[in-house]
Formats: sequence, C-alpha cells, structure tokens
Amino acid sequence: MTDPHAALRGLLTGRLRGHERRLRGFTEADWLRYADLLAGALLVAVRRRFVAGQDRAPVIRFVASARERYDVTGCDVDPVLAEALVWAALGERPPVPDGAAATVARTVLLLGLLEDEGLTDSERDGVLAAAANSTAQGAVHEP
Amino acid sequence: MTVDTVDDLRDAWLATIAAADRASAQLHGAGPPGRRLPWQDAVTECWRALSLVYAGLAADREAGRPAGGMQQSSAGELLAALRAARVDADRAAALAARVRWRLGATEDRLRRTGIVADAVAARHFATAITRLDLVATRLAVGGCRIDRSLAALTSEPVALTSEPAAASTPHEPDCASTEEIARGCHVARALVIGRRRQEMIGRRR
Repeated sequence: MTDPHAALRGLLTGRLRGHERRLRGFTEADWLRYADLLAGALLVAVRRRFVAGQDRAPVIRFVASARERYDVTGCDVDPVLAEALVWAALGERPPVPDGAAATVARTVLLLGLLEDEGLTDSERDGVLAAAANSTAQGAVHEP
Repeated sequence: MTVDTVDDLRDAWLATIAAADRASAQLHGAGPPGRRLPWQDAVTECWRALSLVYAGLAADREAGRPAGGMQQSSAGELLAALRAARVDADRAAALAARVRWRLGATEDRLRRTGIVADAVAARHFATAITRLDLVATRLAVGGCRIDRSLAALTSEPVALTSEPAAASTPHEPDCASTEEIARGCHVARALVIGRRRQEMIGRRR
C-alpha cells in the first residue's frame, strides 16, 4: 500500500492522526497520486449509487445531505461544484479541474457516499484498491 | 498502463456471457439461448474504447521521446488523438455504468430465487461488477491524465460545466498545484474532525 493510498484509507476509516502524519511526508508526486486516487475512489462510489441519465433530484438531495453532515458552516463545499463532480463521475458533464475546492468537495462526497452505503471494511478497501491499482505507475496488481 | 486492464475487461465480458447463459430465463429480454444480450455488446464496446484510451496515452508518451530514430506526430494530431481518446473514455465509462447497473439489478434478483444455479450466476455477475468498477476507475484516471496532457499542450484550462447556474463557480486551473491539493486536504480533514465532534456530542445527549 502506497502512502497516498494509506493516507486516504486513514481518512476514510477515521484514523486522522495517521492520515495527517502521512500528508506531512508527501512529495509532490504523492500529492498528485492522492488527488488521482481520491478522484478514482469517488468515481467508483458515485457509480455504485447513481447511474448515467440519473434524475437531478436524487443527486441534489445527496449533495445537500453530505454538506449538511460535513459542512456545517455551508462555506467549505460549493454545492454547484459538488453536483458537477457527481455528474462528471457519471460521464454526464465535462471533468472538473483539480484544485483546493474540488479536493474538499470530492472528499466530502466520497465520505457521504461510503457512509450512506454502510460498507464493510473489506468492501471499502475494495473501492480504494480499484482506484489505487489504476494510479500505480508500474505493474497493475489484482485487487 | 499494461494489458492487464484490457484482460480484466475481457474477463468481465466472459463472466457476463457465462452468467447470462446460466440464467437466461431470469433475465430481462431473454430469448433463444444463442441470442446475444445487449450488455455483452456494451462490455465489448468498453473493451474497445479502453484500448483507444491507452492508444491516446501512448501517443502522448511517444511525443515526449527524443526525435532520433522515431517518428513523432504533430502537435495538432496529438491533440486530436487525445481529445478523441477522451471522448471514447467518457463513452466507455457511461456504457460501463449502464452495464453495471443492469448487472447489479440482475444479481439482486438472482440471489433472491434461492436456486443454486442462480446463486452461481449471481456470483459471476458480482465478479463482473467488481471488474467493471475497476475499468471505470481506470478510465477516470486515464481521462484525468489526458486532461492534464491536453492542458499542458494547449495551456487552456478545462471548462467546469456548461450549466448557466454554474457560471458563478470559481474557475480553477486544470493543472492544480500540489499546494492547492494540500490545502484542500487540510480543509477536508478539518471537516471530518468537525463531523466526529458532532457525532460525539450527539451520543452524549
């Protein structure tokens, strides 16, 4: 397991000290891999929940629910950006550029989706493994 | 990128066919045993589109090689190839999502019958679903890499969305700096901490 993979796993499992410790040691390449891994994991999670051609209402409700849970002030997760990330993951809209706001929104959406699904530890690791295998620079390993 | 990913998609295709053969009577639109089901074509399209994505990325890497002894495509051809690969990646991802949805619904239906043969078919579908998730993720990551390559070649950021309601959304450059990603990670971590505090307060009440 690479550091970006372990860092994201730590965040998703609530092991925040380990998550923070790994972030502190990130190289530039590690940050980019983390961003890729986050985007990949979000895509898998979105497609477990929604389908192409999805009605807008369930997506809007989910984004509102995730923001309500994680963005108490309402200032940190742009709802329009968050919806765009979901639609981009479904292939319905152009991809959303990386950036600070997109990273925050992706994280909150991923956490919301995984929380809603109530995945077991192994199922959650499967989602991360699917994303991690795609970001590996060398040989691809089976999940 | 390796051929293992294409092999995964081929395995998903074979698993889909095996499951469809075993449980054709349970599936929507089932007909004569030899009839080809729509999602088999969709998975095959995924396979072909995925190959095109890799071809686009390979063309991108080719352009970075020294010129000695190797023919390089023009910048215009490279851009066209990358954009075509991106379109194919999006199309393949949409196809994979639709196939996944159908497989998930069918798996659920088969598991409820209590018939052993249906349970075996459901397991095949579950394996196919896992592999399709892997394909979808790889398409997304490949798509992000294509976007970065396109942005680097054109020096133009990718548009956020075409919706009028999104016009007020802050515009971010396509190739985000690691500082921006780090800043986003730290904000996200703070939100998670806030959420955990809320949950602890809620439990104490």
